[in-house]
Amino acid sequence: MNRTWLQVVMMLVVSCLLVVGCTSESKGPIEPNENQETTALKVIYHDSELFYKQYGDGFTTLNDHIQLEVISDADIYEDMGDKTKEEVYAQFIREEQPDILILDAHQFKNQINDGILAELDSLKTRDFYNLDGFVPGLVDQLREIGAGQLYGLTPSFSSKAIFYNKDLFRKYGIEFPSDGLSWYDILDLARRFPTEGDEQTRVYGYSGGDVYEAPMDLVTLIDKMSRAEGLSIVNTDKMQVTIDTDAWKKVLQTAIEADQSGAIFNSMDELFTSGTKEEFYDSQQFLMGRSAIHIGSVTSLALMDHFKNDMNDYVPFELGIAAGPVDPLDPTSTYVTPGDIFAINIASVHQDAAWEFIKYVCSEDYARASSESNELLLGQQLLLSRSGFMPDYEGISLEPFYQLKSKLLKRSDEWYKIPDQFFNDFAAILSRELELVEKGQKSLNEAVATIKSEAQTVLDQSVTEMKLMESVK
Amino acid sequence: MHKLKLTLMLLIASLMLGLLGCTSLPAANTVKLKVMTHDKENRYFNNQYGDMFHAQNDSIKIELIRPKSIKLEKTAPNYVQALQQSIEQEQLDVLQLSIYDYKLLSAAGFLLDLDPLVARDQYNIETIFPSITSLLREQGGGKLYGFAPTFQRQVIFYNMDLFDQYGIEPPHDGMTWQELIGLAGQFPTGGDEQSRIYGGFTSFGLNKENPLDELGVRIGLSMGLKAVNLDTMQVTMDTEGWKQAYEQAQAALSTNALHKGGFNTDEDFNEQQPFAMGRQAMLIAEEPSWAYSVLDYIKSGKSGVKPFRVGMVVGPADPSNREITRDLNLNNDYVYAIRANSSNVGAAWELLKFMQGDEVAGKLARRPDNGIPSRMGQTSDFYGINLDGFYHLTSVPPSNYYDDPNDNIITDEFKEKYGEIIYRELTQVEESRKSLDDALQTIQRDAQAALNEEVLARKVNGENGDLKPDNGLTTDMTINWDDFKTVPFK
Repeated sequence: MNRTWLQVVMMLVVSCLLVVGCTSESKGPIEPNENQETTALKVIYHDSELFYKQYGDGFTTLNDHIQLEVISDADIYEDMGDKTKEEVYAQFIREEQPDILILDAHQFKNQINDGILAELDSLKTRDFYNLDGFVPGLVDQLREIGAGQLYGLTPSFSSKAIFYNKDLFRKYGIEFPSDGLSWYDILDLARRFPTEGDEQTRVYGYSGGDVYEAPMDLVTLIDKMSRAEGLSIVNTDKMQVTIDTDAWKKVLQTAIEADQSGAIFNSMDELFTSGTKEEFYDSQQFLMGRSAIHIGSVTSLALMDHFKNDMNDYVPFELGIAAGPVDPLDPTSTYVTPGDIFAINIASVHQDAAWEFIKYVCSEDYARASSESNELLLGQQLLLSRSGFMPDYEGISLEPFYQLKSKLLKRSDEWYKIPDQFFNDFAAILSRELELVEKGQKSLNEAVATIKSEAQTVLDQSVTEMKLMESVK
Repeated sequence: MHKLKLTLMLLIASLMLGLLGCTSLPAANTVKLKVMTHDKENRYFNNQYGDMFHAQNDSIKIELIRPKSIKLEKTAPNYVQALQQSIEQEQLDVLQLSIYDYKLLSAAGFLLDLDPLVARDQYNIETIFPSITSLLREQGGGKLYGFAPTFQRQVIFYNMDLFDQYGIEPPHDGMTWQELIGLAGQFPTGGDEQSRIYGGFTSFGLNKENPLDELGVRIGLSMGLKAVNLDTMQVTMDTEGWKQAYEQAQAALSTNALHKGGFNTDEDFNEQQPFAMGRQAMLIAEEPSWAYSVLDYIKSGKSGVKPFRVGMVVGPADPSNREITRDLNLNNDYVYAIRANSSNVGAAWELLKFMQGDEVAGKLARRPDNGIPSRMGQTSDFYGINLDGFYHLTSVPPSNYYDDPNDNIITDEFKEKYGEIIYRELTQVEESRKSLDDALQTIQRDAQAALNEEVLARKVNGENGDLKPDNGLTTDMTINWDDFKTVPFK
């Protein structure tokens, strides 16, 4: 291969973006067959090719009498005017009147609130459709969004686990991580590894990064830690910045100590942006056996496996995976993101056919077929919701990903109205102030007070602008 | 988030070279059939064939295997041995082959002759598109060693309503370029670029920088012409055939009936296609998938134009034999064959029969934009286009411009030089600064010199057949960190 993988990826991304642009929105036969028994289901998804690959082709293979037509919602936010994303989507649904909606958790909640979705429990009971095989908690969480009623199901979910280098733990006589560790436990373990030595040979306790490894600066560490506890920086009832709570202070204090301990691969100077393949691999501390712990997804696992095979002189180590991270106050659950949530439009005249389709994508048969060609799942950091169909990856058990109870992050409707800019501004203020704390120029309490008041000013401005926008309408 | 997801998906899809997914439990009493695949995603094969086959055959379990790639030039003397070795190493039963590999392996006696099995089972090969069977027999030295369940072929779509409106006789199968150009010329040419009507022929218009070259080459290829004869290492541009092709192109361009332009990334994808907008009478579509996406758009009514009726014929035909179009393309899929020494010949033959069978064809016919089923007799009426039209006349593989079907003899350097020469000369013709005759003579002379140089360079370097230099170790790579960033604390 003359091209490096990233060149290939970038090429594909470019060509795919093009393809996304080119493929027209509806790929399925629009015209109903002369055969009267045929039902055509209208489905909303962002990419029709991807839809058919993941769901549609498998279904139509088994069902002659139900055809699928995909309407893409990929472009609907391009020309929003002064509408919010939620409003644009709601209008799109009103106009298109699909039979099946495919939603993320936020959209799912909105559609339930708008009364658009059909309740699934009665269909489920009628057909004795079994939901017992799902990863614990996932269906309950979807039900919770529907205030006790089930309006949607997802065939997949995204979850993280704690990867560790058994050889390094053995070498330094440190106990292997157990299942259900919190970030506090993880950082404690990480800090027991030596921090001496030059950059080429030294060992790190922890190496971060999503998808592939990258240095984890203090702000990123705080972001990760707070997510695991479900902490938020704003109380949206009062629209107040809530960084001064005890829970937040504990996160900040622990993060600063860990950041200064030298145990974490945290220097942004080491961020790989371009170079040779060797240099890239060299920047992957956990992969190269130089870091004890890394939190990753099933995608990280697949990538690491690929990298290993690609290197000629790779020295392997024994990999362990533990379930986590968890919130110390709720150590048997972990936050996950649901994959595509399938729901039925309450106004659809094809309720039964739509339910057939949802039953299929959430079935064991679908799980079996998807596990046999799992590239699309792996590429989206997804695992199958039905337990037992992805038992391992290349001999490495995926059980830790399924072990803890799944929970979904709950955010208010107001939360989604806060602009991204506020969060970026907050991160900048946080970074600046905590640097002063690390240098000993400010106490943590002083810094927190400054962060709170400055961030509150930015938030107030955002809120005023939001209200202005709404009053214009 | 969406962009990130997409990036990730492609990242993995492109990395899954040779990686197996989660292993599934083997069942007892089943034959494990090792099927070769070139696709990074198993899903393609499974959706197309595997899932349906498994649903009907409990006793045969397909395992898809990507053999190690062979780091040899296809012209290397030991290429075919290396290919056999890599297949034998994996003990593959069913092989997925390019038509080139199919030819080599059948000549080497590596593939199972299917004719005795066809005769034994009285398996119907009469309703396979004869152009496909002929090609496979021809490449197999007279014997049938494989099946190609799908194919692609060029078709001409036309806007029936426009033809009706102007009272022009619509096209029919087997028209030559010259006739189609004549037909296009019957449409009015007045009006501004945004509203006027065009007679034809491409999606975004002929390359406006050098339409003469693009159209001339297409006409020449329909006649089976080549730019180079590799047997004699002669450039063949100053010939009667090419002169005719370019003269026809010149005449066509002078009518002003053809759309010139090019794809502009800044503008709306579909709105740039006059055919999709109801303003172009004919569209020559090289692949059905492309054509169907245009039809989708027309049906959607998003153009603001009332959806119009679309007809389809095959062509353009070779003027020297109107029964032939040079457009048969198996590239979207492959030829499937059985390794002669396979210990699972029975199961492998079952799979091949199934893949080439009516049931698969029926499914493919529902979505023919993934390839036209080579098993005829399905009566799909996808978007009003009769599937049967794809089987009209005889389709043969396209003639190869550089006489180098496997793209392994003519170097990129030569192609680049050649492209410059063509561009330089034909622009002068278009600007009426040079006669076509003079330009073709200069192209012949300069391109021949470039080819001679190339031949010389190759002899000196002795490159032919050697391992390609693997410079993967030194290639630079770049990661755009921002692509992987998420909004903090959100």
